[in-house]
Amino acid sequence: MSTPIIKVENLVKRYRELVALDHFNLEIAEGEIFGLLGPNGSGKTTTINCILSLLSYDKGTIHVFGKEMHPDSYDLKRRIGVVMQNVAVFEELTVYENIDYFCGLYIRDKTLRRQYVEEAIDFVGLHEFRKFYPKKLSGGLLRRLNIACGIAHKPKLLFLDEPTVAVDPQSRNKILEGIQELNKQGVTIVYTSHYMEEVEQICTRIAIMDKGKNLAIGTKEELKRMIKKSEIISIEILDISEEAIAALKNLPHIYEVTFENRQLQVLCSGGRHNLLRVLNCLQSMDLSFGRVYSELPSLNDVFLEITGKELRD
Amino acid sequence: MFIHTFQYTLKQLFRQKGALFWNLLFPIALGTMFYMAFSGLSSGETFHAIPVAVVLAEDDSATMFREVIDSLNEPGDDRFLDAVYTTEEEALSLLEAKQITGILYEGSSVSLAVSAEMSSATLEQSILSCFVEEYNMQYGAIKKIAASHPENLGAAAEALAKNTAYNTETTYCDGDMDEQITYFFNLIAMSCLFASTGGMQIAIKNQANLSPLGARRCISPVPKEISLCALLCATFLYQYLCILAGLFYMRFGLGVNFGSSMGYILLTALLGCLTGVSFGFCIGSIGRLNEGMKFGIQMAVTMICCFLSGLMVGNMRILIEQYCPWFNRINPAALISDSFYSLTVYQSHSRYFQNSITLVLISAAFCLCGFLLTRRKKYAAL
Repeated sequence: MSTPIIKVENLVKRYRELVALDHFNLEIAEGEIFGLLGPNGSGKTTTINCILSLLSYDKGTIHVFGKEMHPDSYDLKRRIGVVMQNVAVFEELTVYENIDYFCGLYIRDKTLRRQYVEEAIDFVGLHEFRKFYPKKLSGGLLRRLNIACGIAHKPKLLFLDEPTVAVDPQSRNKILEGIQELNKQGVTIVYTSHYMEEVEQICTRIAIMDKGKNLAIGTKEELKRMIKKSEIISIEILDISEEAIAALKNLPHIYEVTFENRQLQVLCSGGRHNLLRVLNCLQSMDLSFGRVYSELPSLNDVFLEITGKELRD
Repeated sequence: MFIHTFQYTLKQLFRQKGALFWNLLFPIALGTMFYMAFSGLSSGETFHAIPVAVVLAEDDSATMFREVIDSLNEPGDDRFLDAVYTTEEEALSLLEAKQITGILYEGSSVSLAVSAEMSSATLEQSILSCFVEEYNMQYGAIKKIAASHPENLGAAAEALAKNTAYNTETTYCDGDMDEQITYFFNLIAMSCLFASTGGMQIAIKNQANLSPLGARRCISPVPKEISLCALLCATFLYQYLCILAGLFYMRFGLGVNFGSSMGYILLTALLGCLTGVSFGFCIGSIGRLNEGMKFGIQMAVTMICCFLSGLMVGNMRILIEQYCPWFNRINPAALISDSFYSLTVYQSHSRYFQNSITLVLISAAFCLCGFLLTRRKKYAAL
């Protein structure tokens, strides 16, 4: 990896007795969409707040753009954009004015600012709503405004802290597409979420967090390779004997077979053509079956196998 | 960055309907209520000429009495009687109809007839009684002197005509010493302290651990000191404009006489506003109390200060001065109100300047305290 844009080493953050970040390490390279995935309370937002120098921490070092990050690192802050988890806009200012205000904290030149604000409005699709006050906007549009306020100044590094919470599917897709577009424009993105589908969809690398620790890090393929489960085969079947289940278990790469509510589930640990082998086996035993599904493991499976609990527990 | 933040803060403030109500409309409404209430009080104290019927005797002696009555019946601000010369029968019918307060009879001496049924005019009846008594006494004295020492009659008449005053009233002020004006002063003082709400919002919206907006400001590349200064200046200007609007409404809309020291009054309002904003800023900066709790503390302190400065009970400030004078020296509401009062009462401005300097010092202390409390760069928890 080239010089990381963010480097966190041995970070420890305590809230009295609670250890929110436990010797946390992280490196994010330029141009990545880096996902911080973890359940609520796993330390994602705390990590971002520490990186932004909003929170004090007990131990560790944080470097951003190769420099140590301090609250008065204004030259670094100028290159950073943040979209907070909570919508932070002024109720008394219109959509345009809100974006202009926050952009104005970074960009002095009025002409350039006007151009940036217009681009941000177009980017989040709020052109028709530019004169609306926030309270007139729906939840999804409000989230888009929140994003526009964080990106209008064209940051090189963007933190997005659960930007799709309580957002309708249409706005969610718009937001996710926008994030990928920003990345194409050269923005490094740190994205936190407890929605694994989103992280899986857009992130180039992912860190799985729980209880303030970085449990695993890598691309989604790398993460999935870390676990035993490589394929899940589900088959609708009326009934199956214990002998047939035992026969399935004897097939190569199959390590678990369960039957419940007329649903046969076969877990495979690797290899290829598992589905074909399973179906051939069932046919050889003259067992008739209905619909057949084959799924690859999700990040939730990765999380489940690493922590022993569901991501959304 | 300062101007950018300053402009947008002003824009926001002028669009906050709730704030506009409390800072502008509420003092105006309260001032109008005071004005209406006090107008009712003073109209009850206005003297109106007393309606009487005069029944003259049918001889020459009536000439002198008629001259006295005519002089008291002359139209003008100091008109004493609203007299009508008539016959006894007609006078009695007027009295019965309650169109007059009494009947003055000219005889060997002047006598007065009033109706016992006119209980609403007892004060006027008493005044008429005093007048008749005084007239008879002076008429009797002149008659006696004319009989015994006619050569001294002129001097005696002159002595009686002269209304000797044994004490004189000297005005040391150029304004209205009416006690009611202190209510308007206290109202302005209260409006100034209401500015603390704006000051409190500054602190809350600039701290990452108190609001998401504060967090967004903290991660921006604008130093906190610049951001705070811009917010304080904008809030102060907004509050001062609201106070000025209220003040001009009272002066020119309601006609409240604040005296000729309008410049000093505007200066006091300015210092009062500064104190209010800085006080709110200081309260808002304290700890991690939630906004509702801080608002409660700020309102409670403001109302207690206003109460003890005499907004609700007129002589409260005098009582505090008697039993706990130091509190009047540090209570911003009392200082603002007393500054106004001293302008209208005292010729010297020393007390006014003393109060003004104290207000400046209090504002500086609050601001310093607020800056120290919000200066922290990182938060232990958000």
